[in-house]
Amino acid sequence: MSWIAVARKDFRDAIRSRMFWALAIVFGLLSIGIGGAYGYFTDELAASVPASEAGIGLVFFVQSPITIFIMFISAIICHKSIVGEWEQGSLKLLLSLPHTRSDVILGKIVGRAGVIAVPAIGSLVLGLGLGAALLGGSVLTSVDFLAVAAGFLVAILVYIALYVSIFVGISAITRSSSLAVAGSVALIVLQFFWSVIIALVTLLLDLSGDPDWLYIPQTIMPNAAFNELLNASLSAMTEWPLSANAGDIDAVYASPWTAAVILLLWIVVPVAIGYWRFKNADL
Amino acid sequence: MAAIELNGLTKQYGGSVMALRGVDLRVNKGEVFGFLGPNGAGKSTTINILLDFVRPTSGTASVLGFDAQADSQEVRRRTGVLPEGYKVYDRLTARHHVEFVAESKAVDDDPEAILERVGLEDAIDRKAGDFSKGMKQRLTLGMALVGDPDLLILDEPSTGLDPSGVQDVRQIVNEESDRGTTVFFSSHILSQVEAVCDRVGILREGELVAVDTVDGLRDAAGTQATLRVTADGVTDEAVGAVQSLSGVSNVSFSDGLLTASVEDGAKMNVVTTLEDNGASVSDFETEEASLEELFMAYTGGER
Repeated sequence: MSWIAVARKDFRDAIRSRMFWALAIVFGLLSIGIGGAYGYFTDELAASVPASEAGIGLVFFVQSPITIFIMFISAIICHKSIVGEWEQGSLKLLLSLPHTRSDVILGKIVGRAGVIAVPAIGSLVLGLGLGAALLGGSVLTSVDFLAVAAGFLVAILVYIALYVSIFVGISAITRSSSLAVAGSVALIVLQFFWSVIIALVTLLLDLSGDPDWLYIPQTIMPNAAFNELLNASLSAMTEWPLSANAGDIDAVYASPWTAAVILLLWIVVPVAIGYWRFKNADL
Repeated sequence: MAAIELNGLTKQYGGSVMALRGVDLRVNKGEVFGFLGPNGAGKSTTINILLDFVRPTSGTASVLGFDAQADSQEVRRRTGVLPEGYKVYDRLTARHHVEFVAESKAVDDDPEAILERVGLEDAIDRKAGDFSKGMKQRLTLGMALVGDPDLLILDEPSTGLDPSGVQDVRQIVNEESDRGTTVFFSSHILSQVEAVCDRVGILREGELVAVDTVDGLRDAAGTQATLRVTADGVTDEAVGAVQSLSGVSNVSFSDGLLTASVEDGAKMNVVTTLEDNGASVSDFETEEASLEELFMAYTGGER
């Protein structure tokens, strides 16, 4: 259980950095800005639909920019978590204590996830609260909205765990900070251009009529899998017609469960490779 | 039981660099053992293997009865370490550092008492990033003392310390030794080891070339001492007569100073022989072979 000591140390260290406070402030402003803007500009529209639908609209308006922001923040905060301590030599201090190398990786993931989750959840509660208040009516007290907002916050925690795990994994795989930067940037770039790449390949292979199996490559990247799963989960909670990709496809594998498995693989595989490399490495 | 036992320990980095070539060593419990050698001789590699930072190519290492590789966590639970080339956490205070070690080792040592022992009582709540090199070294030494370890491993503990810091390290080593702690420390400077160690081992290019007590090493270097005689009227015949004495060698004379290597008991013969040959001796002194010279001899003179 000594990973708890590592996580606590890591969190303690991080919240003393200026970077953490800058992150928390930007996070807060972003969340309040987006939530507030939605509430302010759509209050008339919201008056014409049930309160629950207006609230859910708010959640989805906030979701996209916030998740992208979290992806960037996770990369910045986590890419050096292992390799940076390795290069600087503080890893020797850490590993001269009775921690195993898996304690170090797990402690880092939990510590850094906490560093991101605390300002993220705080900011989102403020942003969603402000947006819902500006929408007026009974949105803020609508049970549907509160359920969706709570579900969304849980999903955000999963999302943070996903990216922290990926970037800590990359940090444990690489042997230099610059390689860790390159790996993290490559993943983010791939993430953004994935749909373009798929469209191009579809075009080149002359796949007319979008075959069913395209669902898999379309869902294989972490953000796509996350969105698919989030849409499916939230539509199950409400009557709001959310278009999960899987809805239009008849194949067995075109199910949110596939997205869940993909998500789980992203959480586990990079960090498992990182652990295997780190465990066998000479410091 | 041995505190540290190395059998045929070999470490090859990459394809070619041999850092250790079959090192056998036994350090007894309660002993203060000095691990000497020039930089690059393999001292840190040995210590890194003891802590499982580095895995041996062949051979075994056991620490406090545990296999250094398979049971590393047990080893590190009972060991305090001052590693080489470490870095402290800049944003955390000295107290945070000690608390982190105590939490990691699941002990409840008082950070203030620990930091007082290493002379950091005035800097307990200051950030370690603002510390001087010497203060960081004291802090790390303090962290090594948390949990009253059975074994202290100190890799170049005097690095960055001023003379009073070196004196403090010496005192802490003695205190720990009195409590029965085994101390294993490395240095490339012999004089730091000489004063505190029960035994020393000398490592050269990955091989252990000598393991002995300091006195034993001195004996091994021979009983020769250097004699310097200041005298007037020393003739060539006088020098020749000294040269022919038994137990005397390497005689040279210039500017009124005669130097010679002498064995025990031959010293006075040199002086009387000079006076018998008409010289007037005004002063003489002898100098025992210093450990420093011995160390140079063992390590091939590279420092």
